[in-house]
Amino acid sequence: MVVAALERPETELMLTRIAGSPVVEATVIQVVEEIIARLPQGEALWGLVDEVAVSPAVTDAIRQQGVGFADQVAEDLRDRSQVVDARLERAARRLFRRRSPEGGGNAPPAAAAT
Amino acid sequence: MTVVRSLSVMPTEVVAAERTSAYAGLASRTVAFALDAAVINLVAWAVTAIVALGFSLITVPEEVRTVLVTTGVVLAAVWAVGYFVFFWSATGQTPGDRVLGLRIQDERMEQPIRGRRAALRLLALPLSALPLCAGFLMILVDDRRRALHDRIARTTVVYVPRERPRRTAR
Repeated sequence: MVVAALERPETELMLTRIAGSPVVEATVIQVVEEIIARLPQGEALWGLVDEVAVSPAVTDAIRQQGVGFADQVAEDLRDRSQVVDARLERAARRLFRRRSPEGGGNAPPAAAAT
Repeated sequence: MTVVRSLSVMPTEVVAAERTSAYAGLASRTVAFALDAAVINLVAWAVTAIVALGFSLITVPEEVRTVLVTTGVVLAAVWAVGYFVFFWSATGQTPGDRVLGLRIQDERMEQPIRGRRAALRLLALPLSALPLCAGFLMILVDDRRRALHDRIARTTVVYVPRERPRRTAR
């Protein structure tokens, strides 16, 4: 019977009007503002925030992001400087009309893989 | 995220194509040296500031002050020398070299050099700088990219192979 009553168009229209009425809107806003104002005062919230902040998952994520960024900066610096190395050398060899070492010079076995 | 994306604009293929040698070049070595110099100076300045603040609380006679300053200068020099000699002889990489992916090694054994050779290399470093940095510019024309101090200490500087990040099983 309740379901049948809720499915009636008149009931739906009535509920829509109630939800859209200024009184309900003002009440909802007041409740939300009150909750927002009270939240920072609650010890439980700060306990939860502290718990999340020191959780291994969060600290690991922050650490990995920091290390990952530093690695990326270093890698980029490395790549760029190696390109500049080669360009400077080519320019110098052109200037002195010297030929480039064939096969990348006398590459040491350990470094030849680079 | 935007910053991270904008940093990775140098594709590996471009770097591989541009790079002509396994030996480290002038730019990489200069940047690594600048980073090391920054580390050395930062530590020296921090220690100097702390010591100076400590002594600012008490009255020190002029003679004692002169002795302290002299001691400080000597300690700073020892710190700078010790920094390079220690890292070159331990792993062949100073922190600056590590960032730039470089390693100093014996030209024949391809191993990190010993303490004495490291000290000799450091002593020979000014010789590379004295004639209008001509000793450093030798890197540009030498087949193994050696500077004057590398030739004197019989060392080479190489690029370290890049380590691939390990994937952890979940």
